[in-house]
This record gives sequence, C-alpha cells and structure tokens, in this order.
Amino acid sequence: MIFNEEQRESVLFFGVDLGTSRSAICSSNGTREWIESFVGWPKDFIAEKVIGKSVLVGTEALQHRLSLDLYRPLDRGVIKEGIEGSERAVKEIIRHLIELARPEPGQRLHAVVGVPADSLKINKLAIRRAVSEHVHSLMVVSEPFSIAYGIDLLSNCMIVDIGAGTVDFCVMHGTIPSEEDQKTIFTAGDYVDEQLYSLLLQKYPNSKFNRNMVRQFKEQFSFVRTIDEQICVELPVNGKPSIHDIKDEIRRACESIIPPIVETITEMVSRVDPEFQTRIRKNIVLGGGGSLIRGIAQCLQEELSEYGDYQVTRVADPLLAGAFGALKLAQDMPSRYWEAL
Amino acid sequence: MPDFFARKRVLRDRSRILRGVYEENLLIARRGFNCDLRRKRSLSRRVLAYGIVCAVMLVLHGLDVTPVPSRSSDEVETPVIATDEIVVTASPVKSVSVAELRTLEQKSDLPLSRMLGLGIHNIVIDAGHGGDDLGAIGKTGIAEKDITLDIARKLKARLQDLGYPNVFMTREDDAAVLLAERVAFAQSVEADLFLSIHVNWLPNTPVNLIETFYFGPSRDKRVLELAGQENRGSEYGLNDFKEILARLGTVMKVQESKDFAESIQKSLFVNSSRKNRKIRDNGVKRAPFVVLLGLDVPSVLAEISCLSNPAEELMLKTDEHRRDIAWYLAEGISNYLNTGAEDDFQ
Repeated sequence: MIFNEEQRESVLFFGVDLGTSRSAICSSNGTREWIESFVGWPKDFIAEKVIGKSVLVGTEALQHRLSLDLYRPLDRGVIKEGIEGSERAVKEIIRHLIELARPEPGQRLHAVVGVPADSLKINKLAIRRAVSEHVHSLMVVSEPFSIAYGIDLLSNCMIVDIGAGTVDFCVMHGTIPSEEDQKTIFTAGDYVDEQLYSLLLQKYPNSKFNRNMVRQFKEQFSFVRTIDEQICVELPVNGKPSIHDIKDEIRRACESIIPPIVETITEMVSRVDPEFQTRIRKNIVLGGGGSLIRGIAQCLQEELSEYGDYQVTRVADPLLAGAFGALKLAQDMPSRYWEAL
Repeated sequence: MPDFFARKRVLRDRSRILRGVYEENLLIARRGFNCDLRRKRSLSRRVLAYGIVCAVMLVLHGLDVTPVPSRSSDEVETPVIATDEIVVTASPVKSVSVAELRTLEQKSDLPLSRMLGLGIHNIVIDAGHGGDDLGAIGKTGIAEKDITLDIARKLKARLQDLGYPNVFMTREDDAAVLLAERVAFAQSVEADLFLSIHVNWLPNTPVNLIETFYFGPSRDKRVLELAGQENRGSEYGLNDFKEILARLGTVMKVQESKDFAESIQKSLFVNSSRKNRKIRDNGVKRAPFVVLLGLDVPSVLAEISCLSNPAEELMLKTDEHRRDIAWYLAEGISNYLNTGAEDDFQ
C-alpha cells in the first residue's frame, strides 16, 4: 500500500492498564473505558450456539461463565506460564479494549501498557507477545509507575497500587524506577475476597453463596474503621431468601490488608536516602481498585503515624489512573522512540 | 524564577524517564527475539560445522582430496573474500575444492541446512530506503521506499503463512534507517537469511528488468553506479570496511549467498515473465552493496522491478502486483530452503 502523508501521520495513542481484576483503556481519541479482566470460550459447540459468540470478554464472560472455559489471565499479577489460554486471554482483552477505542482504518496504533510490577519482572515477553499482535508499536511499564507519571509525581513520592492480585509499591526518584524501587505483595483484593468468604462461611454455615457473590459484596460495601450505615444482604438458607448483616465481616476482611501494606510502606521508606525520607512520607499516593475501599487512606495514615508524619492520599480516578498515565506516557514519547520499537 | 528552575527540572526528569522507558523496552524487545527464537547459532558457525562434516564424509568415502600447500602463518591470516579453496579445520593436512564440495552436495541431494540438520529460523527482510531517502521516484510520483516497504510487509506475511514464523523487518514503517543500523539489526536478531528489496531505475532505457545481487567485487560500471546509489547514507568508514572484509574469510557465505540469489532471481523472473513477456532476466551478479557487507549469513539484494519503465510503474501502483512480487520472493526463499512453496503458485 502506498500511504499518503495524512495516513502516515495518523496515529492513535493508547494507554492500557492490564489488571488482574479490571483492565482499562484511555486513548487519544477520548475513549475512557474499563472492563472486567475475564475472558471465556464456549465449552462446546452447543454453548457456542446458545451464546452466539466464539469468545466473550468482561462482564459478558462473567454472566455466561457456566457455559465457558473462563480465564482471568493475570491471576496474582502474572500470566500463568505454560497455560496457553492465559496468553490467548490477554490477547482477547487487548483486542476488546482496542475495539472500544474504535481506531480508524489505516491508523497506526501506539500503545503503552501498564502491568502489575511482578508481571513486568516475570513475563514481560509474554505480555509483549500478547499485545504486539494488535498494535504497531508497544511499550510496557509497571502500573504504579504509570500512575505516578499520570499525576506528574515523578520524584519524592511512593505510589501504592492496590489491585486484585497484588499491591504494588513504587518509589519515584525522578527517573525510571529500578527493581529495588518496587515491591509487590499479594495481600490484595483477592485476599480480601478469601477472607470475607471464610468469615461469612463461619457465621452463616447454612447459607448458600459463592466467591463471585462475595466479590460483589466487597465491591459494593467495602470499608475500614467505621461507617454509620448497616450492611445487609440477601442470601438463601435452605432455598429460602434470608437477610444477613455482614457489616462486621466486611470490615474485618478489608482491614486484613492494612498491616502488610503499612509494613511494606515503612520498610521501603527506610531504604530511601534519609535526606529524602521526609518528603516521601508526605507523599504516599494510593491507586487501583483497592483504594476505593472507604476510609482506607485515612486508616493507613493513622496506622503509619506511629512511624512518622505520613500523609496518604488517593488519586482522583483509581480505576482509570493507570491507563491515563500510560496514555500520557505514549503521547509524550518522542516519535523516534516509537519508530525504533 | 524558582518556578522556572522547578519547571526545568521537571522537564529534565520527564525526558530522562521517557528515555529510560524506551531503553528498557528496547532491551525487552531484543531479549524477546532471543527467547522467542531460542537463538540458534548463526549460519556462519553452521557453515564451519558443514565444512567439518564434509571433510569427515570425504575421508569416509575415500574421495580424492588435495593436500593443502604449505603456507606461512602470515599467508594463512590474510583475509580472502572469494577463493577456490576451503581449509577444512577437522583435517589439518587436507583441503577440498569448492567444486568437490559442490559435487558432494549434489550427490547427497540435500541442501546445506538439511545436511547439517539445521533449520533457517530467522529471516530478515530489508525494505530499501525510507524516511527522507525516497529512493527512485516514478513519473507519477510513486516512491521506491513505499513500494519496497509494502512488498516487505506482504512478504513477511506470506512467509509466516508458509510456516516461517520468525521474520523480521529492518523497518516496519516509513522511517529513515541507516545502512549500518540495518546490518546491526540483522545481527541483533541473529539473522539466518537476509533479503534487501529495491526497485531498479534505468533512466536511459525503457526496459523492465530483474536482477539479484550478492556481495562481492564487480567490474561492471553500471552495477558499481547502482551500488553507489544504494550505499548512500552508509555510516561505514574505510576502517570498518577493512575490518569487515577481514572477517569475510567465509567462502561458504559467498557460495550460499549466490545460491540464495539464484533462487530469488529464478522465482522472480519465471513468475514475472508469465505476466509480462517483455521483462528481462539480468541474472545474478556480484556487487559491493554495503548493506550486504556486514553479515555473515546468506544475504542478497533483489532489484525486483524497474520503476523507470512506465508500464511497470503503473503495475507497481496496484496492490495485486505488489502482492504477486512478494509471493515470488517468498517462493524464492522457500525454494532456497528447499521446503517447496511452488504448489501455492499453481
């Protein structure tokens, strides 16, 4: 094809946040979307005929999960090595996200993809393979770093990205963070789900519920410390709908991730040059879906007060902050770098 | 004023970060090539192994081998580009002529890669020119750089369809890439085969011809002029040139490149002449193209068509014709590798 000048210059930039539970996209044409990171293929031809699609992504996949081989490809923040479906699932998520951005025919697609920090360490190649099929040029960065870039906090701060599979910590020094500047722990959103599930099972042994329902309770009601409202949900007992108060269980499950986060923040701050520790303590920024737990920033700040004068805030839009930062990186990146990749 | 300095510091940080992200991803991408391809040894090393195997086979089969004339150490170290003799390292007192090796190869009915049980894994396609370097320009304004890029893309897709997954392009878009960078890229991905695509321009004659080159000295004035044109933008200095020449003691590379060039030329000409009976076969030639110089593996430059020919220029503007040329090139590569793609063209 002989491209004219206009086509050559036509580039659509993407920022993608590829998360364990949710994946988001921001693009230079104004798209701002997020989806559940679930992909499913019909189990057999009957399922395919009933569903009418060969692959389902996001909420749609969750809704039809009984008829599907369902994948959540970035479990615990990494693509499961050796499981072909996981890499295929990442490809499908990327394809779906790009479709949401509606690129014009012939447009070049330049993407920056933010992934959990561990995934960047462990399977950066698998991610490149999965994503590069759909874009012309690609860069992969860690999620907390892309959040920092998006909010212009390039130095003297710590980003705490509370996701589903992992909590990623990243200290920014005005340069691209090294592996020592980043740390990942696994007491994240999925851990809260597990805690809540077992607490509810203990309290209501005769009630019927599954992990997906528990996840929805968490997303709807999560909080730490105190709130005034009651939290009551309907669960079937012996086939009969019954109202249950789950407020205490929700609080206990959500607060279970506070101690490891506090411990990791203090440990990482202590590693920094003492001259800069004060500035970083005043600049702890939470991102990711986990930062939507009501009261978590205040709770962390109080817990950290034992270790110094900490200030903990939350980014404005935690679900899209990573993708927005990745888009900003993509747009700021000089074109010669894109060409070289 | 403090604001000014703070802003400047932020800009500096930002620029450093962007560069860091780029460099990190460049490393990942390069490592990706290494892992994905499970990095085979380069063909040049395989060629050496081939020599060893041939020597062993010759000894076993009792073929007549010519003793190596005694040489001083200085003579042995003298770089040779093309010679009629290969020193077989496994048998220090014997050597075997190229003709004998060829006989052996013909007898065995096996190509080099098969004989050694080796596959060609990494194919690099070089779309000539790019960026500010337009290459030849047709009367209707069509530029050589666009034709070569499009054919290279189609060729890559075709080769992947034919079962060669590891195909790389020295440029994926309209970027200016120095010749030295193209060579460096091919080396970085450990290319096993290198094909550079160009379109000819013959201002004084309206003919349409196809010709394919492999690296080597030439006395043909027109070929030297052509090499001069295509070598524009080379970053190589004379010292580099000498150094690379010194490394080119591999006669086998030249032989393999010639075979590769013949396969490309045959496929291009035979198929193209079905569509255009007036097309001329200018054959396979040696020429000092810089882009072919720095590689230790079979590498050729194909002038796939003639942009100065008005009828051909109109044809080159069609997607179908460019796709056909890409398929002919793929057939040439496939035939060279002896895996047979001819059936696809029936």
